[in-house]
Amino acid sequence: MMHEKKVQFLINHQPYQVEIEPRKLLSDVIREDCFLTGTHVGCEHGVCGACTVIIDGKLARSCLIYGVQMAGREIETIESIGTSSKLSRFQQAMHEEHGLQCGFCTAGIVMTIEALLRETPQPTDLEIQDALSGNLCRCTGYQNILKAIQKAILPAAESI
Amino acid sequence: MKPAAFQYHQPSTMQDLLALLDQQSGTKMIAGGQSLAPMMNMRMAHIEQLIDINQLPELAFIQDEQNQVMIGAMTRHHEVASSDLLQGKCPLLANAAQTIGHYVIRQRGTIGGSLCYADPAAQMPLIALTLNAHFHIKSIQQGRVISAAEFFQGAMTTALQENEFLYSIAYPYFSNKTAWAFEMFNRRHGDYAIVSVALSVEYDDDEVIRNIRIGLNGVADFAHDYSQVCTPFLNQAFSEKWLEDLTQHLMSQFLPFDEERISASYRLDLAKTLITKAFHRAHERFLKDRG
Repeated sequence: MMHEKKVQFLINHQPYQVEIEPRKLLSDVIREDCFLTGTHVGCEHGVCGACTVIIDGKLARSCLIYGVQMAGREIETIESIGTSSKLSRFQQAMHEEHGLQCGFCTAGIVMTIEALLRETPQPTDLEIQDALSGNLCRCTGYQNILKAIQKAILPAAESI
Repeated sequence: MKPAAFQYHQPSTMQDLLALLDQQSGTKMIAGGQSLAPMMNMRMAHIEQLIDINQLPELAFIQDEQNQVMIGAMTRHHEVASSDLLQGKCPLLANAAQTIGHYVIRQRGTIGGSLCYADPAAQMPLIALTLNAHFHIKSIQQGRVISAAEFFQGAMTTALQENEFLYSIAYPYFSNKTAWAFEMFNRRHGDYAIVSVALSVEYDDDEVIRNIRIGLNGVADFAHDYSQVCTPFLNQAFSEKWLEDLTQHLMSQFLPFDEERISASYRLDLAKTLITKAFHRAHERFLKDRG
């Protein structure tokens, strides 16, 4: 009993059209139907933050959204942040501060912090901790990630 | 962690939404999905007809209506938390919204979703009850307005009929001599609180306390408004003795319950500490604003 629906949306400015069951999680649609495997899938119930993406400019857990909800939406995934030859400012800081080991949580953390810094270029320590507390990292620990975030924050004058 | 199959509807007008609610049975609306989607993914909730209201931007607004602020049910927690209008006119609501989940959750979760879900430990039902917010409900036949006390019928249960939906919620203005506090205790940042206290205290020109609105989560089976209980303590000035007596009096009203890891007596201890903290915080805010 399959009731597949055709859905069109943009990921990283590229148009996609997929035929999916309504119950298919957006995280699975991104990975299995759009072949963008940078977005990781951890807990699949909104706890770990590994699957975090940006939808119409707002952060979202892609495991708590169904792909069918994305008609006409614009999604940004980790593939849109930096390139392997030129990392984003925060990615570079994560590299320099040893903000990752296994890297499983990293895509979600990068998306969360990139979006936080877009909205709040000079976040307070509390704002940073609140944002990061939604992403679980089980190997690096959070101190190096916090250092990387501090390093990525632009001085007030430059961010204008 | 994959949900069971469901029929999906995405109404693009309010009329379509009202018609769907009227014609289909077994419907459930999804707004932010930050509570519903985990329940569906873990198959604790089995939904036959899922109605997605994310294509109805007219349900997301924060409007100034003279004596009250009207908030559309699809307004995201982050918009409530960062609204200048609410920071000015209803700061207790905005600040309580800041404590919901994490930054990412607040970008997606909605005030209406949280109210309709009616979790007994959630911030939004507590604030709505404490401030006596009014709920504007619509169906294809009619609209009606009910108080928070009428809307909530217990944990995870509301007065919404199957063909109705929550359109907006009205919160009364704070007077400029009203101080507030929101205190909660949880073991991990972002979790639901074990106990939380929402408080607003209205003073007069002589610093006499004229009105108190106070609500607590975690000391009964649902959020509860204890404002009436404070009546004998009105028309007095703040003092430590006054606060101690009031706290004792409040605590005699609570019906805390034992759970495997959280005893009733621990809930009472937490309530006492948080009530004391809340009144102190509110009084400090009052003294600071008075200058």
